[in-house]
Amino acid sequence: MIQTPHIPIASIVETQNLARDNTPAEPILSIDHVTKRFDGATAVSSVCIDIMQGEFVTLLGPSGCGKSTLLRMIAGFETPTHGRILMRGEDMSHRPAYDREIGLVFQNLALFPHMNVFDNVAFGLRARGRTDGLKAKVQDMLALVGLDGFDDRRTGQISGGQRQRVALARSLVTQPDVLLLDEPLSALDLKLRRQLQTELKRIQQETGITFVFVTHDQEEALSMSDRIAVMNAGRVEQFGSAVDTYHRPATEFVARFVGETNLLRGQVQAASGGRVTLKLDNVNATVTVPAGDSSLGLGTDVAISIRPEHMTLGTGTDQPIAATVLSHSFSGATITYALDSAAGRLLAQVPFQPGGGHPLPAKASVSVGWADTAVTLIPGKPGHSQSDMEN
Amino acid sequence: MARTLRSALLLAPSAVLIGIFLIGLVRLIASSVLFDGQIDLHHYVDIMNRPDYIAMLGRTLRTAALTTFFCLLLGYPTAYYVARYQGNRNILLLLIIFPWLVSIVVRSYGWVVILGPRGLVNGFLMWTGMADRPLKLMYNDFGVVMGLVHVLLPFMIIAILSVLMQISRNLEEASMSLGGHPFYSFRTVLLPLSLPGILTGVTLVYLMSTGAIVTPLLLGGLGDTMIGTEIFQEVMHFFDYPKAAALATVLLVTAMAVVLPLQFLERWLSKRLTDGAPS
Repeated sequence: MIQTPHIPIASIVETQNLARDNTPAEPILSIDHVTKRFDGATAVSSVCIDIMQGEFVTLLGPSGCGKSTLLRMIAGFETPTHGRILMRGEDMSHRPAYDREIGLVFQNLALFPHMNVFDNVAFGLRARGRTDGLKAKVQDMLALVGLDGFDDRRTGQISGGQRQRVALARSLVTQPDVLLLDEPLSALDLKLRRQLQTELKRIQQETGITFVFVTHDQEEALSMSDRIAVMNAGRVEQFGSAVDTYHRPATEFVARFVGETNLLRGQVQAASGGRVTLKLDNVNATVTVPAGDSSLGLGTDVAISIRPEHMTLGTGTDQPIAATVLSHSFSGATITYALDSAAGRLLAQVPFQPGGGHPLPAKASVSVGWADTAVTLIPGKPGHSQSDMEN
Repeated sequence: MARTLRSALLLAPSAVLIGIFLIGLVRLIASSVLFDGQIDLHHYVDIMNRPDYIAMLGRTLRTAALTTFFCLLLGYPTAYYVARYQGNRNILLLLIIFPWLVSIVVRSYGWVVILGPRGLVNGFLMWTGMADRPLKLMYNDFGVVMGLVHVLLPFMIIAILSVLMQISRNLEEASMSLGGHPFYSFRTVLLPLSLPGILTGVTLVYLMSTGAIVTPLLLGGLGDTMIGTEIFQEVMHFFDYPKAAALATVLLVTAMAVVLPLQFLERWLSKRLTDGAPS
């Protein structure tokens, strides 16, 4: 990395934007078919992800899905069993952590307990021998995270949220190519977490540094990320924008893990003109939905995913699925109904119209449908998941 | 009232212990200076006037320093390895503590078998022709230091281990992720944080090796005794208790002369290291 003299954050952003314009195609971080096995157990399985300069990418998945292992491989604490990790096109797979231009915010923060705030933040600059203008750089960074004047505080004397900020400042001050964050907010209470999410996003945009954020919280992932890699059992099930991840889930796992959804299974009966007609399991109904990009043979098992908020409720028989109301919950703007149907338990979230009468009572008969555009067709047998889905 | 009584009762055993220890210490010093109710320092004057005693004192301190140094050199990496061991750490701990199950006399004699003129090492060297007559590996300072390091190493390992176990592996990783090479990370993170353990280990090993009796007796040279051995002989062979007491007091004072500054050094160092790493 180039020795940068002390320059204000705004100009850092500018230079990095310039750098981005010059080399638009090359990803700053490339995970190239990376596999990691521990004693025969596969933690990460043939993962491919390209991350661009300045992106906020989230690795999202349940615990044990391999997201932390992947992060540790990017950091340089684990070596891939197969595959390569490239940064700016250079193979990093076997480089030790201290020779990579990365920053890492640990889940437990790992602040140095024997140093004050200033020395914690200054650590990376000193370790790399970049001591020119050290004081100003550290203080700029402390200002960026909102901790001016905290220089002399001991890490034990400050609050949880302030400790997060110190950890962030410490790993950002060296201006790493990529900042890795390993569930840094999981230990905080909800209010503080929301506040720090906004802060993180602001700091990421101000510095223009590429963030790779690990979390199991799908709301956190959706609200912060440019792109999300949803991981399950060591594989990336889908890598796409937050909107795509939610509205165009590639697999059943993604549909279920990211937000609530209704999954209906069936077989392809006919396909023509960009639409497929499905015979739904357990329900005496055929539905026609947009085929999307997939081309499916007749008889193929598929599932369709419809988010609760895209379900429509009717009282007649004009809609494909008959159901009965089990219960409802009212949340101000909307009412969410839990419904029982031959296709299984369904959720429908409908807008609440003031003056539109009372919520439907339990046991009321309804019919359920959806808007055409809200349906996502997920190919594959139940439980089967696709790997290496890439944009 | 009841609470005060309970505290007093709980304190009683340690008070008794400290009391007995203090009485012993006072009587030891008294027996070296009080003769017929008069203060008489002639034993101390004698000690100071005997070059062989001064040499013995110097040898004792040097042997203790060397023993401590080698214990630290061997003990720190061992403690680190155990602290970061992924498998069953208890097995390693057992291996470290295992020698304590064997009497110190037996352990020291073990070295005679290994280092003696007809011992394993010399036997091998002469058999291979690398030496044509036995090397003098024991009955000298080398043998004593070797024996003492063996006997005292577990103390050093455990003192350091107990501190290293408290230091999260993440701290070293944090240092590395910030560009700290392994040695830099060691110097700026691990070392300052483990300093309390190091100083505890150093103090323990140093104190125990200054007072060592058995190992120098078995492995040391005839002419170059250590002060602990000398005290032992004054008591057991010559029944000269006042002189032994005087020697013991000298040993105590010289040991304190090293250990007390060490305690201050610990405070000074940890303050310095916590206030800021060198830039």
